[in-house]
Amino acid sequence: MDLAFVPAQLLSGLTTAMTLFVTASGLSLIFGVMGILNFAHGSLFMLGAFCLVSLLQYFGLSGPGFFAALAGASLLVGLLGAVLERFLISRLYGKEELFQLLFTYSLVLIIADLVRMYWGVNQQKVSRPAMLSGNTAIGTVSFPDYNLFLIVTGFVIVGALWWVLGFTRLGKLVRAAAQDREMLGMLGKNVRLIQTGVFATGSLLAGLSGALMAPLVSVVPGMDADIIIVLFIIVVIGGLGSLWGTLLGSIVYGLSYSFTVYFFPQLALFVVAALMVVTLSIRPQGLLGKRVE
Amino acid sequence: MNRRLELVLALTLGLGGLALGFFGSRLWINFGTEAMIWALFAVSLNLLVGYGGLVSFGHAAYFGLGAYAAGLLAKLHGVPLIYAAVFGVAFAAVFALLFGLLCVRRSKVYFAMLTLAFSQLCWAVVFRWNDLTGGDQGINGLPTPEFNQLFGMSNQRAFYFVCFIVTAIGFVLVWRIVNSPFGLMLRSSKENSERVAFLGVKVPAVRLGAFVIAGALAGLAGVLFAFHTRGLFPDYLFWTKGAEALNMVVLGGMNSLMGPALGAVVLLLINQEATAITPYWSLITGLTLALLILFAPGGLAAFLSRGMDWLGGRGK
Repeated sequence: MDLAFVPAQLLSGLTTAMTLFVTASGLSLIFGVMGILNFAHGSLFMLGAFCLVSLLQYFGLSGPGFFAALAGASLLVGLLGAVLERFLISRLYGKEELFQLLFTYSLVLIIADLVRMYWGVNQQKVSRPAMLSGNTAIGTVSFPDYNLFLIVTGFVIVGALWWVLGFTRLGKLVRAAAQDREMLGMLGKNVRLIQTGVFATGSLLAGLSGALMAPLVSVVPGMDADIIIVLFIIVVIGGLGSLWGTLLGSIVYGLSYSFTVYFFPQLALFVVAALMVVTLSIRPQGLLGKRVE
Repeated sequence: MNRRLELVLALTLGLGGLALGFFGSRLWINFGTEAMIWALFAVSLNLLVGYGGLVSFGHAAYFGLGAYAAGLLAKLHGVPLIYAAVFGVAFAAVFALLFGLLCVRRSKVYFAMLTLAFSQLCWAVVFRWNDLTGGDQGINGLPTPEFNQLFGMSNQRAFYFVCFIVTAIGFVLVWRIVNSPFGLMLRSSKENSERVAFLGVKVPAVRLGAFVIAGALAGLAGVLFAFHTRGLFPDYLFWTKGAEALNMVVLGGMNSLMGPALGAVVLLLINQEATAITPYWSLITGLTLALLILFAPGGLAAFLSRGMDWLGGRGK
C-alpha cells in the first residue's frame, strides 16, 4: 500500500489540532476556574476571524500587516471577553447550571446577529500572508508554510500556558481560584480580578485561534454553531479543565478527523461525535481529567 | 406550581386555539399548527428540564428521529400516515431508551454534554446518509394528510384540528405524569437526588422513564412537523433546534406545565412579527432570553402567577 498520503494527512490533522487547541484551551481554562461552560466560545472564535478580515483591510496584506491584524483581532476579542465577564457572566456565578448554559447560549444568538449586521451574510475571503504562502520541503514531501506556522504557534501557546500556569505566581493564583475561591478571597487576593483575567485570556485565545484559522476555513456567519460542537468534543475527550487533556483531545480530534476524511469522507462527522459519546459514557471526566461524580 | 394558573393558561391557549381553528385565515392556521407542534416539543423537553432538573441540549435528536422515521416510511413505502406516525413515535422512544440508558447516570454539565453528543451523532448520520435521507438537501414532497372534506373542512384546517387534539392529549398526559407518584419521585429527585435514593427509589430508573416519555413526545412533535411541512431536513436534528425549545421553556417558565407552551406561542409570534420589521430576530430572541435569565428566571408564568395573586388578593 502506498503510504504517501500519511505525511499530508498527518500535517493537516496536526494543523487543525493545534489551532483548535488554542481555542479549546480557553474554553477549558474558563470551565476549570469558573465552572462555566461557555457556549459563546465558538462565537468569540468567529469574531476573531471576522475582526481579522476587517483589520487586514486596514493594515494591508504584507507580512507585518498580517501580524498586526492578528494581534489586533485577538486583543479586541479579549477585551470583549473582559467586558462580558465584568458586567454579565459574573452575575451567573453560583446560579443554576441551566441558567449559566442558557445565558451563554443567548450570547451566541446575539453575537451571531451582530456579526450579520456588521459584516453581512456573505463569505469573506482571507488569503495567507505573502511571506507564509510558500511551501517547505521536509524529506520528500512539501508542506505549506502557513500550516507549519500554525503548528509552531500552537506549540508555543502550549508551552506558554504550561509555564504560566505551572511555574509563576500568577499561575498559582489561577490554580488556587479554581480550587477554592472563597479561601483565596479570605487570603486577601482579588478573586474578581482573577476571574475577569481568566475569562479575558480565554476569549483572547478564542479570537487568536479564529484569526489564525481564517485563511484556511470559510469565514461566514454560522461557523460559530459548528465550531462550538468541535470544541466540546475536544474538551470532553481530553477532560474539562485540564491543559494536557485539552492538548490530547485536540490531537485525537485533529488526527481522527483528517484520517477518516481521507478514508471514509462520509463518516468523519460521525466518528468524531462517536468519540465524544464513547468518552462520556465510559470515562466522563475525559482521558486526563480529574475524577468527577 | 399553581393549579389556578395552569387552568387559566390551558383555557386561554385552548380556547384561542379553537377560535383560530374555526375562524383563522390560511396564514394563521399555518402559524397555529406550527405553534402547537413547538409547544408540544417544548413541554416534552420541560418534563426533563423543569420537572427532572435534567438539562438536555440534545432533545432535537428525538424530534428529528420521529420526523425522519415516519416521513421516510410514508414516502418510500407508502405506509398509511397513521401507522407511519405510530412508527415514528416508537422509533424516537426506542432511541431515547438506548441513549437514555447512558445519559441518566451523568449529572449536570456532563448530562448536557452527553445528550448533545448523541444528537450530533444522529445529525451526522442523517446529514451524510445521502441514499436514504437525501443528505444536506433533505427530502421534499412527503404525502399530505388527506381528510376527504371531513365536516366540510379543507385539509389544512382538518390537520390543524388533528394537531390540536394530539397536542391537548399530550399535555393532559404530561399533567397526569407529573402529578402521579412517578412524577413526585422525578420532581423530588431534582431537589435532592441523594435523599430520594435513600428512600429506596431507583433515581436513574425514574430519570430514564422521564427521558423515554419526553423522547416519545418529542418524536410525536417531529412526526406532526414532518407532515406539516411535508419535508425532512437535517437541521431537525441539529443542536440549535433543541436549544430553540430550551428558549421557549425558559421564556414561558420552567416551573409550570403550560408555561413552555405559552413560551412557544410568544416566541413564534415575536419571530413572525420581528421578521417583518427586521431580519435580525435572533438578536431580539437572544436579548429577551438574556434579560429573562438575569432578571426574571421564572419566565412569563411567574409574572402571570404574581399578577393573579395580586388580583386575587384585591378581590378578597
